[in-house]
Amino acid sequence: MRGPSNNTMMAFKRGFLRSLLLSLQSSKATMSLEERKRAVKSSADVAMATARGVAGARWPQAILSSSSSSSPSRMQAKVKRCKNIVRRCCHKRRRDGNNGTSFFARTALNRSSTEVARRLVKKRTKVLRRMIPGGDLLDEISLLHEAMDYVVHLHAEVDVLRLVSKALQRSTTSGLFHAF
Amino acid sequence: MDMNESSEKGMKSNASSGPGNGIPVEWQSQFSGTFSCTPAAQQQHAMMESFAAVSAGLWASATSQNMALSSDVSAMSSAVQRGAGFLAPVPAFLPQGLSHFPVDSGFIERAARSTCFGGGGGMMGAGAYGAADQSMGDAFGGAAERLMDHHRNECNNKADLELAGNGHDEVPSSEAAGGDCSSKGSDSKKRRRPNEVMGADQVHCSNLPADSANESVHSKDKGEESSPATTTGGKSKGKGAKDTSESQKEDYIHVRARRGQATNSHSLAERLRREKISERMKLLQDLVPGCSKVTGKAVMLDEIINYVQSLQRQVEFLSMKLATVNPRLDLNIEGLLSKDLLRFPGVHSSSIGFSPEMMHPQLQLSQPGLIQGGAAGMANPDVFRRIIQAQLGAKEGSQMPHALNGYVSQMAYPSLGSQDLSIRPSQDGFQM
Repeated sequence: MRGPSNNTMMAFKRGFLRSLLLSLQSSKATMSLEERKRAVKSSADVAMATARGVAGARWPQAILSSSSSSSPSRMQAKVKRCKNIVRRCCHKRRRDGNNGTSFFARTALNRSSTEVARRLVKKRTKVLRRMIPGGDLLDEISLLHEAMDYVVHLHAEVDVLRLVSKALQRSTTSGLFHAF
Repeated sequence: MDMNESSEKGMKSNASSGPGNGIPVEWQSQFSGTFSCTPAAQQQHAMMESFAAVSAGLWASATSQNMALSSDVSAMSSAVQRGAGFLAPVPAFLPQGLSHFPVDSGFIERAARSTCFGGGGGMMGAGAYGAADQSMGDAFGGAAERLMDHHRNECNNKADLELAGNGHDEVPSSEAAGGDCSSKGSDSKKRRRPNEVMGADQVHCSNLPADSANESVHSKDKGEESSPATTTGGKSKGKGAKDTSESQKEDYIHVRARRGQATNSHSLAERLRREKISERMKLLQDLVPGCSKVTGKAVMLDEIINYVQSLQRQVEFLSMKLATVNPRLDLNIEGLLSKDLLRFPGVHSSSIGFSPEMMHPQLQLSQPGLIQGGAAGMANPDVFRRIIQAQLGAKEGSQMPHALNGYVSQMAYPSLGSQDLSIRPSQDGFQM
């Protein structure tokens, strides 16, 4: 698997596995399937965020802050949305001032390939922002940076989860239960 | 180039929406005097480390595994030159993919120490070689912080603080610059007089972030010259040799414009941004599988989005699988880990065995401050329980058959190759 050094990723995987098992142990005993799945997923996300550490990237903090608080996060979400709206308005105003045409006129006259390419890129950066935790607040360059970091750690997380599930499968289907 | 320009213009407004990065010139000059060095330095170094860990292939060093934090400058400069010399063939290897990425935090430490000259070059020197072992991240961050303070006290000039105040806008440029420093160093039109103190390469590489930051800071002041619009931005980095030591005197960047290039200060900043972005896109290309032939920002972004989406869906799928395989979520720790330990060398059962003891009988719901502390490294069962309870309480479950069908149908990502999740795991796991 490509990525940063093996030692780094091994350390991350170890930390991730440890955090994951801890969190799964501490969860409630009786849950429906959906709840369990959500518990596993959220504990995996949180474990990834804690194993990554807050240094060097924004997405761990975003994951932790979004999962830790419920009603404050709603306020934060509202604030973020307001920021996005203001941002968009400012950009449109600035762009229109530069181009000298109104917003509607520009959309009507949008024919050139560069315009199309630009809109595609903007649309996709918007989508990327939504997918990466904490990506709303980042600028273009650090968004790509965060995406790289997030992709690498997500990949490692998938590997660890796959290992764990394979091991579980083996232990249950073969009927072997290791005693504590 | 047309695509780049159009997409750059399109993304310029996006970038300007970022925190303080919209107009880097004004923002940086504004913050130069008032920004405190330490958190910025720490943040920069943290980002440097993560970035280096991600793209460490660009900075493969011959002496990579030496973690010694104290070394002499001469050994460091030789290592730096070796590392710099190694940079040139590395980009050629990138498309084929490197199997390992040696990292060296001591390397950065030494680079940081030896580049104290030229105001802020120290912290940028560390940034130029972002090859840091992430497991050493905290230790390195602390050491780097000490180094920063040390450098700040030593190299007491405005440029230093300005660079410190530039936040993470510098780090990307430092990372991007590092990849180009040796290969594009020859492109610089204005080569400064050879630096007797350090090797030329080291000067180049260590000053890349410094002068890319300086360029963005002072591009407005020096309008008559602008960096040539190469896609990799090696020009602006190449002139670093002369800049950081001159920056002490005048804080200006002399950039020679190529024939027919605009010398506008705006275009300078735009060009710099564009180069940073293209640099990042190239690195991302190496991360995402099957993107070596793809060019253009829109298509690359599409691939990245697809990849991230597929990874996230895999996580969901695997968590669903885990949830079904063990009905009580009490994973048999010892049994599991005895197998997984084989793949994770260095993890002893004793280190995992502490986890049952860590569970306290009464779980207090912790404050958010605890979560910040938890984020620093140690997993806290209180935090996790609180988080999971919050999750369970906040959301409502969706239909299970829907979820399963959704997972199975969404799993196909064409470029995953051997990692593809076929339907087989779902059939195995969902026996109820």
